[in-house]
Amino acid sequence: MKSSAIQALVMGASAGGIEALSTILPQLPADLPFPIFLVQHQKETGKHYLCSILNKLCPLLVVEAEDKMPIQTGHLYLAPPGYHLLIESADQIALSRDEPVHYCRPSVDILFESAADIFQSQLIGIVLSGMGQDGAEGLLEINQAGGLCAIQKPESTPYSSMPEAALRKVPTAQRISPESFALWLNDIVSA
Amino acid sequence: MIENIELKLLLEGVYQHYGYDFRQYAHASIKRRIKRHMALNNIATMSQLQDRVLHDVQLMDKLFKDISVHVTDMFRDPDFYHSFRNNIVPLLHTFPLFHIWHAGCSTGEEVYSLAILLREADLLERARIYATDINDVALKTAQQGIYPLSHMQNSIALYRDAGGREDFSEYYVARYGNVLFDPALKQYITFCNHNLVTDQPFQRFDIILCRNVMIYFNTELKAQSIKLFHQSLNPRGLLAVGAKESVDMKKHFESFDKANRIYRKIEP
Repeated sequence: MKSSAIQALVMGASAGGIEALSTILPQLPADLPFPIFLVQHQKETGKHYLCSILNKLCPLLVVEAEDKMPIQTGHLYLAPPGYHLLIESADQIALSRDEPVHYCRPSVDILFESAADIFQSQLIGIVLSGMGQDGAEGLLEINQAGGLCAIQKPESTPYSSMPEAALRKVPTAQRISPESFALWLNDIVSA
Repeated sequence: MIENIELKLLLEGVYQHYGYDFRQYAHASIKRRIKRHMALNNIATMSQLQDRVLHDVQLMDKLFKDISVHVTDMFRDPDFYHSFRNNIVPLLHTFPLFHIWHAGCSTGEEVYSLAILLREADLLERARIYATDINDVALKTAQQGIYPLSHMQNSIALYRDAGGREDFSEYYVARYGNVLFDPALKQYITFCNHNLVTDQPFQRFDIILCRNVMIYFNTELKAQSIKLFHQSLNPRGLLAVGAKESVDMKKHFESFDKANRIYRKIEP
């Protein structure tokens, strides 16, 4: 895969996600040539602290997604509490307040499915630490659209059922450890 | 996966045949809703769906419901109700009579929330509220004011978060697993069908609430709706949208409460 081929990276995380992100985000280059979209499960009434926490960890600009926000390279878009985050087109975000999926809003599945629809094979999807099965269906859609699929190594987190569920749906998904994320991404981007 | 061309053909067919115009809805959400509709009704492909919908009115009714009903709660987004209480209620006390349009009220939970807030502010008698939606089934639920008892625990918590100080259970009676909201709350509410896509302004308002409705529209339809709201507002009238939406029309609106997405009309 050529670096220019990748148009976006989507990630989904639940319990243990902040720990994984604390290791992953500082490794990202500030000039990442594509945007990142992130669903981290949190309480619907969450007070939007997560965005400022992640901003301190990350060389990229972390913004809480808003409806119809234009997509910019090198930004990390975080799903706001209580809304699903969707990709409307290659340059526009959409939000929805549709019912929770697997009791989750934002739902990883919804982000992944809409991203697969828009970016097709030029997409990387990663299911990080968490309990439950959100993200598994979505990762399968990314796989079917020809995108690159990965999960956080189940043995690297005490909350492994979410990456395990994704691995059952997409057995070929690459297993990555948060510590070596930058190396892994670099291999893909420069391959 | 639904191809864009299939989506456009379906929506165009539905519009031509039934007059329901979803052609300017945002693609990502409507695709998901159509996929769910297909799964629930055992429809394998978009061409099958198109064929069946155009020949089966009952299936069209179901599709209409699956596309257009938006689930909502009482006192959702407590911060907004705080702002209404602190920033808008004092203004309303200076009006002998005022008109509010709740556009896209769905099943009505947020309209009753507004009525409760106005009653607690001793303003309900001065309010004339128009609650509109495109879905008659949702409107009927709104008109009845009957909701599942199981939702009330969450509603009470949100009511408290929104600064409610009364005993919330005083506003309804519970029976057979449902609650009926005090009919006096809807005394000043008119429920009626209005379509933001095709209908015109129908009167002037002091406040318009359209929260988390335009997130389902594309950019053009959103802009068209905001113009409609501008035409429907009295001078210096207020427009409130959802917490994660914005009104980016500097000639038409200025910010009234930035954090809570409340805007004030200015004349262009």
